[in-house]
Amino acid sequence: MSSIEFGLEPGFKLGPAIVLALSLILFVVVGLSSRARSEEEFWVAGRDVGPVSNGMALAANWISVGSFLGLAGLIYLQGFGALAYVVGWTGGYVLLLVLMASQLQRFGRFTTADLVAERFDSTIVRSLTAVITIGIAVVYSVAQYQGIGLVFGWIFGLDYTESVVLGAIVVLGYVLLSGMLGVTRNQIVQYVILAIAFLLPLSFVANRAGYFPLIPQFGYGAAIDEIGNHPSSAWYDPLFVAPFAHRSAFGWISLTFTLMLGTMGLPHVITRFYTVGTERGARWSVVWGLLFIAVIYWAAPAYAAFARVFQLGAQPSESVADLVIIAATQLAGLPDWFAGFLAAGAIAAAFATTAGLLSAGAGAVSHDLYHNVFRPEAGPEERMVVARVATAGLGLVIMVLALRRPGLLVEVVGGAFALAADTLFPVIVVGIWWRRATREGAVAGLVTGLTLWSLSAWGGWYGGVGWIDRWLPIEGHSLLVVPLVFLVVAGVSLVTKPSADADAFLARIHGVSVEVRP
Amino acid sequence: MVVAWAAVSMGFVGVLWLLGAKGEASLRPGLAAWESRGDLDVDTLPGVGLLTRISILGFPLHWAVVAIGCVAAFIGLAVVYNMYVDARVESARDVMAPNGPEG
Repeated sequence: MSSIEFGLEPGFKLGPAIVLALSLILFVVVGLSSRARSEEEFWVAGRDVGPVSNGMALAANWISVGSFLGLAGLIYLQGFGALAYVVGWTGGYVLLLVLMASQLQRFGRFTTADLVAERFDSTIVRSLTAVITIGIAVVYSVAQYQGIGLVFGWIFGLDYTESVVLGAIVVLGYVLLSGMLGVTRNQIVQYVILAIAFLLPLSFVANRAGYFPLIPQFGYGAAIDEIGNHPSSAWYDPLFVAPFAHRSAFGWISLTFTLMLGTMGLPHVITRFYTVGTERGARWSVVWGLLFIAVIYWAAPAYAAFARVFQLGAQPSESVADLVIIAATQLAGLPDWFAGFLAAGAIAAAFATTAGLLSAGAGAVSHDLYHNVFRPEAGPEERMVVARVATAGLGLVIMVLALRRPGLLVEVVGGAFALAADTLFPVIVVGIWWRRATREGAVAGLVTGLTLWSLSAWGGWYGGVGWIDRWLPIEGHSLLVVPLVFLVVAGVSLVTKPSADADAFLARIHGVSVEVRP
Repeated sequence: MVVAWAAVSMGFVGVLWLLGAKGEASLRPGLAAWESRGDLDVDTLPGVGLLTRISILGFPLHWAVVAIGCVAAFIGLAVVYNMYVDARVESARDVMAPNGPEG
């Protein structure tokens, strides 16, 4: 089925363009009105964001274009097999809350590398962590640029290359102007826009499809039942509903595991815990964030099911999957501005996440590498200049990579999660919870994780090597890699000398007073 | 808490696999698989079993639990954990106050 048959008409669309332009103007106005004026405001929003606001910013940061467009698209293709993303992208927050949220808030610096560098008292650990942070920011942002390209292309009738370049210019300009304080305020606005944009059209789509329209995210069960269990229905596809038809039980659990652990290593998520003023606020912002995320994740499978219903038995196509929510509104015969609303929401999602990622990546360059490794004497103004240059440089690299379209949106985002899970997650966890962990152990763990992820990414995106595809698939290999990295960290730590400052550091981040051992 | 998290995240899917039919999965089934979907014996599809035949709110049980229930359970776990920590912090504050719990 072509994209035109599936409701995605080419050419310029005035209604969606007006809705999108208005939302972009709103982002810029909010960003400019809350522009960062100091280094602390730029990186961590002055550390005075409340738990509900931080939860909303956390959700906006989190709901990337992968969640907004890609999640429904993958569920539309794979059915139950893709629900691993719903569980994986929410469950990690519970672990994050229990293992890290309070400790990160008490630590209260700027970046992920600050945490591990101070814990292990090591420039090498800081440098490796900064490089990995930049890698995560780049891979994750590639998917955002892809999504921006798809949406701009659909609205303005541009080809993919033109729309990615246009989107890259707009998002870069916004991040460079506003900084993290603008980003935080804007993320709250962006969450409101993306939530309304996602949920409002869904009720109308459900109504047109003949299903329960009031709370469609909980009322689409009849559609799933018809797809899975009624051979007489035109949209019958038992493989959509059968649990492991598209993804084996091992693959399902392995993917979920990767996404959950990756959540705890993502630098733009970690940074959000430095922006809250209190430890209690940090904990409760996880609950609010999860609730705001759930509102969207409960609705994505409903879009996928309704898209299956509207396409009346045609074979699901990868070429339309990433825009399936927009296509669903078109096939439901809703006015163009509904699709424009969804497009504006998708752009809000992409902007919020990209802004957070670019800030985290630029922080790794300016604060961790430039200031703490190469030029300690650099003053705040010089560091801000470096951060802005780094943001622009990263934006260009991401744009070039996005033009290649390495995979479906969700698959590319999954690669970033795997990188975070394989490298930063084990080192942060042992750094916070195991006083015997040493800098040599941390370096060995980071190198092992980075090497195995690189092999996996090369195999998945470029190589097509049989044994890598089988044992290290780019999404979902962390079930094997993370335990191995933990073993390497533990083994090397046990044969090397622990840091003398570990007890004092741990006492500070756990909020307890202990007698420091001589 | 971590045990509860693991049970919610992976326990149900594990049980689904244990009780369901076994078979090969394919991430990208081709056109032939699509065209012959009407002839499939549903009971032999991977994972289909007792838990997929039960219906709740119109959903097959396994879909409702994973797509809706797991996320709700994560929120519930996070709330319970925060309330527990808040209570612990509060009682520690009472003990440390100059005049004891009443002070």
